Amino acid sequence: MSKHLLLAQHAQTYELAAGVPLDVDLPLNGAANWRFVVRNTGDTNPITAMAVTRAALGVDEQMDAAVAVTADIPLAAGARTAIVGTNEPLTTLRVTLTSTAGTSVRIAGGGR
Amino acid sequence: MITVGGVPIAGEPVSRSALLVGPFTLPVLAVGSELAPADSDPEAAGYGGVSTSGSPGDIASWVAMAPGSITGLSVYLTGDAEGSAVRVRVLVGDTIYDDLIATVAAESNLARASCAAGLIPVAAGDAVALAVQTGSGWAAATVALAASLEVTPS
Repeated sequence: MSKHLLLAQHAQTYELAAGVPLDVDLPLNGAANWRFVVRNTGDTNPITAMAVTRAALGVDEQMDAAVAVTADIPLAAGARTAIVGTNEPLTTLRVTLTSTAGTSVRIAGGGR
Repeated sequence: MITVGGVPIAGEPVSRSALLVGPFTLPVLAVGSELAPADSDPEAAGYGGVSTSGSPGDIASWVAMAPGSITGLSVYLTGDAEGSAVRVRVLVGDTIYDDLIATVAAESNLARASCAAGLIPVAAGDAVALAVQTGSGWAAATVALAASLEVTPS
């Protein structure tokens, strides 16, 4: 049992190379209700694209099609947004981030 | 449901609860210019009881707050229609739509009608009222009209 009584919790910083999409697989572990905050921790460049993909049985099994996100995108340096799932009992949520000029991003959150 | 920044991602079902808008009122229904109500000149029923009379496009109107469409119309008369039927349609700006017509038959005082979403679109800021027609035989001089609309957000 986690100290926060969460099925899922994850916090990590990632580097986004210029123009290269990065897949971040958030481990939900079956949590149905979850929240992750995505913060552009870079100094200058925005995150220019985001997509989310549901993976009911993990990324090694057939996943849903990726869904492009437009809300809060582009995400300016220093800005943050929240990805929130309600009644979404998934194994994994894949978040694909792109920054055309490159930046860093921290994703932190969890759920149960 | 998954949201980002509070906005559902594409493909998510979005709740669209219909709104009831009204009343639109007309204290006195004028005698129609033609025998058949459908052929008579329409008069407008304004929103909220502010205006007592007026022409379509020149009367108190409900101002749409968000995009959507008119999907229902209910009409009540304070007494039975006498001498002709009463025909009520939706007026958006200067346009009267024939997609939604509530007709109160003679010797009756109630009517309702509905139509599919999208047939009578409204944009935020559109002025909405009702267009009312009676026939030349209209004889219910003391009967008033009250009506409400169903608006389905898009």
